[in-house]
Amino acid sequence: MAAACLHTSNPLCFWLGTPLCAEPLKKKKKMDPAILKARAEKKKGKIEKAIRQLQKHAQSLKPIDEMTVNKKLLGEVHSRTRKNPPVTEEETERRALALKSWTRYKHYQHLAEQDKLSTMILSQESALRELRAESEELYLKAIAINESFLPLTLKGPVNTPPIPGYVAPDGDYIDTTRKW
Amino acid sequence: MLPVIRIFVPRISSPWESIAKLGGCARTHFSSSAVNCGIYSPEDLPPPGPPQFAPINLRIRGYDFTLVEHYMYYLTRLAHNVGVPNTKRWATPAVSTRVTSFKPQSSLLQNEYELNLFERNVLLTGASVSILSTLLDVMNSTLPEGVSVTAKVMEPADEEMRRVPDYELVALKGQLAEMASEREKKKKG
Repeated sequence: MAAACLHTSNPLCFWLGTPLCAEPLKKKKKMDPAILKARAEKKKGKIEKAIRQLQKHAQSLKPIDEMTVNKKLLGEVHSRTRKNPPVTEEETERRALALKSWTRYKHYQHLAEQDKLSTMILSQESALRELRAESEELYLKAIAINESFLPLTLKGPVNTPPIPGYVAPDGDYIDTTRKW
Repeated sequence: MLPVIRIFVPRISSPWESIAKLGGCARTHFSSSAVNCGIYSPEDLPPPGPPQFAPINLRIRGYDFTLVEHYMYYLTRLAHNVGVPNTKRWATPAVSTRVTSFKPQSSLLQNEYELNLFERNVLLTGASVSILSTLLDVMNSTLPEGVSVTAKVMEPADEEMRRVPDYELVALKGQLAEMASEREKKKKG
């Protein structure tokens, strides 16, 4: 083994391996540019057709978790429904009267709100009409679209006011929303 | 005692507006003819009345689901009554957060909560400045506890956010873009 590494002259260092004994590699033929172009066009056409097909089907909406019912519960519907005793006549009458008085209350609430709203809107419109009679320029400025105040955030009240001098504990807010 | 009945008059300020609205309605059915119902109106006129805002998206967000959902119903009814009849409403998936608090001077968990910030949307199309200001005033005074409303101009990104992204479509479009850029490189080189 050691003797094979000794040479008396300059060795050519041929390595008689499998690649040397195999057929010489074929020369790469130059494809006709027209054929190449046609192939590229065909591929592009196929991709465009696939895109059109996918775009035709309306994209599905993300599911709203609070509106979906648990599958396990859906399966248990039969065992979970109650068989209540029949309702007495007194009770049905009491319920009907309660519903009527609630409807009446909500109706008056709605009418009161509509009254206020219509007063507001009609007074606005009469003011705009008067303004128009006064000066057209000011009227146009008054009804001009001005989106500088958007986006506008309005917050509702809170149950308890903030505690003065409150030191919040350390903690983390980790976003666990489902990623698509 | 007889209840007092008040009738709410629909918001049409002048007779011309009502006629123009009639003409506008008829125009949508017969798009080519300019003379409908004996009323002639040129085709390229802007709609009557004061100028209208672009569609405005009201995002109703809160941690209490019942309040958020019912406030959405209230706002659509309000918009309809006030003179913005074309209102669309939809739900956006909730943003869930896991909130943890540590025991003082340590990193041991004391409390852990899973909170969902629910969101509902109402789209107002065709609101003028006076109507929008009225609506915002009413919203300010009727907002329930813990609910916030953000009014902003509707963007295509808001609609995209609701939909599941189609990765196949994205991949195919990427392939097309690649091919186009390769061809440009060959042309240059």
